[in-house]
Parts: sequence; C-alpha cells; structure tokens
Amino acid sequence: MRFQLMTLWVMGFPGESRILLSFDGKRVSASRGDTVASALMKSGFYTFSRSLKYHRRRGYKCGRGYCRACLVEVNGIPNVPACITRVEEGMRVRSQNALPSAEFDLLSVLDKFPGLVSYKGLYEGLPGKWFVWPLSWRLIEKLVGLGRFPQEHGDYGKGERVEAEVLVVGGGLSGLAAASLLAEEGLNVTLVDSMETLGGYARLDPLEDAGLHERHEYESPQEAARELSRRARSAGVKILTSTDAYGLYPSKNLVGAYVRESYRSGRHLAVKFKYLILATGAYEEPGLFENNDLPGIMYDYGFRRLIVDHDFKISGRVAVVGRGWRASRLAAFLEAAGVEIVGPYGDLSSKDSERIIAAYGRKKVSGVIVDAGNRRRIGVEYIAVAKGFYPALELAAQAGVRLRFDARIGAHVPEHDGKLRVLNNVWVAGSLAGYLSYADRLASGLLAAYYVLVAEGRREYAEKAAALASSLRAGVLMSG
Amino acid sequence: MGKVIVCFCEDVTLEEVRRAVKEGYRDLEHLKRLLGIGTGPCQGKQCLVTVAKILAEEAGFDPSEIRLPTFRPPARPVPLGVLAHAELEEE
Ligand code: FES
Repeated sequence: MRFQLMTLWVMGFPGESRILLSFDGKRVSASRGDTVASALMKSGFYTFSRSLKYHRRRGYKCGRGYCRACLVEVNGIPNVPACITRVEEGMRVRSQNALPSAEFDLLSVLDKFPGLVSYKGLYEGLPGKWFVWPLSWRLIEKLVGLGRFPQEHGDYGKGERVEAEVLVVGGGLSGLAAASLLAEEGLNVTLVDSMETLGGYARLDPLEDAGLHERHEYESPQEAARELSRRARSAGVKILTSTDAYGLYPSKNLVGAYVRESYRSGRHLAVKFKYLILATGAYEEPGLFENNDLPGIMYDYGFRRLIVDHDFKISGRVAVVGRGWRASRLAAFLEAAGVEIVGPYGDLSSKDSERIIAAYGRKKVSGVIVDAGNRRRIGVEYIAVAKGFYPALELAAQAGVRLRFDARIGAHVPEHDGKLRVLNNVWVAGSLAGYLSYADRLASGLLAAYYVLVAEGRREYAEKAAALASSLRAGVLMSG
Repeated sequence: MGKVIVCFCEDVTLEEVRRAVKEGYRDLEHLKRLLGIGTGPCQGKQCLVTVAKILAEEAGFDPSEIRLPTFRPPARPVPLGVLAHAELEEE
C-alpha cells in the first residue's frame, strides 16, 4: 500500500497536483480537469456499473449527462453521472448493481438466463404455476434494481427565482447566437446549459467548416462556439451552466431547472420568462450491432470530449460507425489527432455494403466483425458512433407542442408555424428545429432572435427575418 | 450470438422488439408498457427513435404515422431533495 501511494505520488509529480480517489476500493489518481469518468478510464476502469436487468457492463458513452450509462455511487450518494461530475480529493466511488464489484459481478449469470428476470418470461415460462409467482417477483426485485438507497443526504439550497425577458435553453451555436444578439439589443437574457462549458457540439469540432466560413465568417465550429460564448458574456447574458432545465410550464411562463453544484449539492431554479427560445439540441443515435453496449463504445460527442477536454490518450485503433457527414467529420478529426481509424462503417440498421455486425471483447471492446460480402474480424480499442442525431424535444413536447416526423433527419421535430414559433411566446432553434449543418443551426438561432425582437415591437427586424428565413430555406434544401 | 441492445437502461434487445411487433403491438406507448423501453434512467433518450424505426420497418408503417409516447417533467433527473427545498410559486 505504501509503495503504491509512493508511485502514484511520484507519477503525479511534477506536472500538476494529483487528486486521489478510489473506485471499488482501488486507488485512482486524477488530474484537476478530470471528471470521475475520465479519471476511471485513464486508470483502465471502463466498467463503471452493471445494467439493472442482465447485469451487463455499463460505462461512459454520451459524455454529456443524458445516456445515464455512467452512473456510479459517490460517497454514499447513488446514481451520480460520472461524466459530468468533477473529481474531488478522497472521493469514494463505487460501482452499482454489482455483486461484489462491477468487474466481477456474480449476477452477470442473469445475462445467460434472461427468462429469470423478465416478467414476460416469467409469465410465459411458468404457465399455471401461479403459486410460485409471488416468490419469483420477490426474487426479481432483489436481483434487479438501480443503485442502493442513499447513505448520505445531499445538500440542497433554497432555490432561486429569476425573471427574464428572454430565457434561452441550450448554449450551443443556435442558443448562443440568439442570446448574444438579444442581449446586445438591450433585452434581459438568461441562458441555461446542462454542461459546464458553453458551445454544444460545436465546441468539440475544431476542423474547418465551409458553410460556417461562407455565411458566418467563422473558421470552425469551435471558433464560432468560443466567439459566441465571449459575445454572450460581454453582452451581459446571465449564464447558468451545469443547469438542467427539466420542465416547461407554458401557462405560467415558467421553466424549472436544477443547478448542479457538485455530486451532492445543487439548487432549484425557477425562471419566469416573457419569451422563451428552446435550443436544446439533439441526442445521438446508438449503433445497432451485437454487443453494442460493451464499454469502449461511445458516441461522437463523448469520444471527442475525452480527447479535447481530458487529454485522453487514444492508444490503438478506433472503428467509426455512421455513414453521414458527421461520421466523416469525426473520422477526419481523429486522423488529424493522429488516431488510426477503420471505417466509417454502416451497422445493422443500414443497407451499406460495409457494416459492423458485431463487437467483441471481454471487459471492453477489443474488436469488430465487419460484413462486406465476407466477414472480417478487425481488432480495435474503441468504437465511436456518429450516426444520426435526433431532437431533444422533451420540453417542447411536455408543453403540448405538436410533433412532426421529419423525413430528412429520420426523427420527430416540434412543429412550428413556419417562423420557428411553437407556442405564443416560445420559439425553437438549432438541431431541435431539425437544422443539420452548423451554418443552418447558427442562422436559425439568429432567426429566432429576430422573431423575438419583432414580437417586442422592433419592426426593423421583420425584413431582416424574412431575408434570413429565405436564405435558411435555401440552405436547408442544399444540405438535405 | 451476442445481444443487440436497443434500450440500454432496461436491457431490451432488438429481438424482443421485433417479436413484440410480430405479436401485434403497434404503438410505442404499448411497447413501452410491455418491454419497459423509455422507462429507465435515460427516459427514452436513446431507445425511442431506434424502436420507432424498428416498428415502422417490421409493421410496414410510414414513420410519420408513429405517435411518440407522452412526455412529462422532469426531462432530466432531479434529486427529490432539490424539489423539496425549492421555493415554488404559491398561487
Ligand atoms: S450520462 Fe454519462 S456518459 Fe452518458
């Protein structure tokens, strides 16, 4: 033990001060910028917990707090998302739903006998034997479940009420463009974003983008994100990061949000708005192939974030899944970072000639099976999935906005009136509204802001809005 | 044969969804109740679109005919303590 401590101390010296935490009793050394997730993976722990039914391995995937595959217990608090939780000195991190540990989980036998833990399997498997049902139910309830009861209390403040002329939910390109313009025009603007750093997907994409360059004069999405964040700040936008907007109550012009302060503390935020712009962005579409849940399989954003934010060294090959422009951009990004890639490939959901049909590996991915007429096994360390994305439409849908299937993106979008308006005083923008390219996403944010200004009685913006709307329509047709 | 997971929270496989559609389930809300999709910690943020696509394909629907399940707050997990401490609007 002493020896181990010594080596860690020496390893962490003299670069920067190291933070020590533990994972299932084993020591993990992290640097200040790490999240619990990046720290665990840098130390070689890819399995954070087990899934709640079949006890399959679960770990980091989306990197931005929504997939919930990375949940761990921290100092007695269950279901903490490791990917958006900063490391703190002495944290005791434990895996969940595993006996005795995520690495060696005895209950993973359930993966081999799915009937045991499926109510449906139970009904089908035990016809007529009603008297064993209560017993089996009790057993199921013991074996499956999510985390332990909290051993500690969280620390939650009294909450805060904010009045905003404009509330913008989402600080990606479209939200930032809208918020900064409106603040520059003298409105009182509040912007909330679920991540610690503003900029959405764009922040993690440093490669040149022709559309952005032509239409908005930014070299890259990353530069646009940085520049717009700076503008929003200097225009006086009230910015709340690490804040999850969880509910929209349109009859009260109210958005409820949760400001996360640490893994065990935070406060409630109620924002009363006059105008609301929803720019909540999009989720990523999972890859469809056998063992698509092995640790080491991540979404585009999560994978980029490890490299950009956490200086994670990618050793070994990466298979890229997805056939659209996002997969090509990810492939180019990885190649520029000196990472060896294979693909991009299709998967079971595509009719491509080259498809990943399975991943394999014991503790994490160690390879893929590619079907291209014949089957090939290719050894890889990671799989990065950059398929479609689909709108984060919960807030709009909760508020009763009609949803419409958009064949271009293959998913539902909130239905707007042709002028991005979904409710009397609510507009949508960015990928939530179905815009795909960076240039369109940014432009739609500006457009939503123009419409708000028009609603505020600023007639001079009506003409600008009409011009931008028609160029955006043309742009959409081009990218579609 | 390894499993192809479509709902990572509730461990629902591609096979199970296909079988359910064959058995006659034709609505996401019904599939949700039957299989548990969309009821786990991510609340459908990963599975819904995939399941909708499988449903459209297996049942021969046009995807635009598919109705999404009802969305209710919270859109993101919030500790109950946060709500308990919150000063909410009195009206
Ligand atoms: S929620 Fe943490 S990786 Fe998705």
